[in-house]
Amino acid sequence: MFNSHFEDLRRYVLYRSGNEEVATDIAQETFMVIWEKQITIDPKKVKGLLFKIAGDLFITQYRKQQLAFNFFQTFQPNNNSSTPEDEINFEELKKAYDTALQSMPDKQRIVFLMSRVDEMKYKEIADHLGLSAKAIEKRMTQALDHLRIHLKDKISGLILFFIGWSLNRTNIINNK
Amino acid sequence: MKPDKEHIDLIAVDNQSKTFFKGGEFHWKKSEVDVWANIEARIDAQPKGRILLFHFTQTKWAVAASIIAILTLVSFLRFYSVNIETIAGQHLVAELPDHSKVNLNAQSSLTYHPYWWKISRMVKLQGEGYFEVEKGRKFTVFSTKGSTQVLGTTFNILARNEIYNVTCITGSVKVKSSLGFETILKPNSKAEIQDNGEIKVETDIETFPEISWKKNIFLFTAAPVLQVFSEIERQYGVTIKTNITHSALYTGNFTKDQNIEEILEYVCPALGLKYSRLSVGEYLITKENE
Repeated sequence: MFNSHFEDLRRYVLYRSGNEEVATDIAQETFMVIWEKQITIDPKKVKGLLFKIAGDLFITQYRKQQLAFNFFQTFQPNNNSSTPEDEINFEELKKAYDTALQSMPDKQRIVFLMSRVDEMKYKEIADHLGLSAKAIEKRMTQALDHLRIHLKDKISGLILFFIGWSLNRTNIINNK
Repeated sequence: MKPDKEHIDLIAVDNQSKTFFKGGEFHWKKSEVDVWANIEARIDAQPKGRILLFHFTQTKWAVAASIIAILTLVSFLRFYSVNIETIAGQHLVAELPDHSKVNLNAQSSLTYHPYWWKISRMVKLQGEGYFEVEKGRKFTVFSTKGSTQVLGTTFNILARNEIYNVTCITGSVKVKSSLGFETILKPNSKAEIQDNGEIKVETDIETFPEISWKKNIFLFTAAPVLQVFSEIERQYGVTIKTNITHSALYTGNFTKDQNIEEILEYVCPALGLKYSRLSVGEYLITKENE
């Protein structure tokens, strides 16, 4: 159970807190709770239960603390920049995402990152969080809207950069 | 148009974020293996065996306390018993909680559970007693050799040493031996549990001799002489020493109005015996020609 769920769980807490130490700690604590209470788990419900316990632990232990949001310290986006200019653009974009994600409500951020980083479908996210796919879709829309507003300055550049970057990628893929 | 602009931007953000986050990598300071090692160490550090922690809230304590209190009360009501005993030379009428009456002959004892009476009418008897049972639920008399069950009747039980006799006066009673034999007695019949546990029944008997003791009349019909003497000892609270061993039978009667010496005077010659007084309440009986 540990091997198949630990990383999922740790990423979830990271998305929620943006803090690696907290994520590792809560994920570990969750498995300790399962062991100490000798909870017998229905295999179908194991994900939901783990996420629920982790969420509760997070709330009781960290809710009132101001946590340092360092998502990109742990998560390294794929950087294909080949020129120094691309490099600068990439770093700027990362910074913009960092600020935007930090100000995004937890609920939206969790859904957004599960969808983008883990590339999970709405239904899968819903199963993990014990919510409906409809609710996930709604949060996702809110998250994108939040990004749209916070990345405003970057958007025009973004589109350009995005196009350039995509081309770059295509080239790399083609070269392979 | 602004909404269109927003929409385009949204799509741009959607697409861009997909690309941006795709294929990224996590760099954890602590690997999964490290964390697992940590968990294992903590599990090992805990005491072996499962610890059951009962987090008792006030309500749970209250419930536990009430259950214990109720159990204590119930077992008190169940097992609290009253014992009535008669010594040699004493007769007594005991009244049970439902007004059933028991006449106890000398040197007998009766035990019952007064607070459990409503639930089961059960008494223990050693010795001899004449029962007048009120109608009601099953009434059971237990003795070492057997038990007697009735609904509401009058009957006499003699349960002394190796003897167990039940005489039914009215109604009907069920007699069980401790070895599992049983019989139902109708009025004017008598059951006797024998040494092998079987029950011998005599019907259409004269019941008066069986219960005459109640009226202080003692009747003996072909009774072994030693049994007669031990009955005299019991009824007068005296000690009779004797060296006779033969099993002569005695037929006769005496009443308790007579004094002990009158009775001995009356019984002994009939059997070719004589008595002498050793001290107060102590008599020696020997053969006449000794």
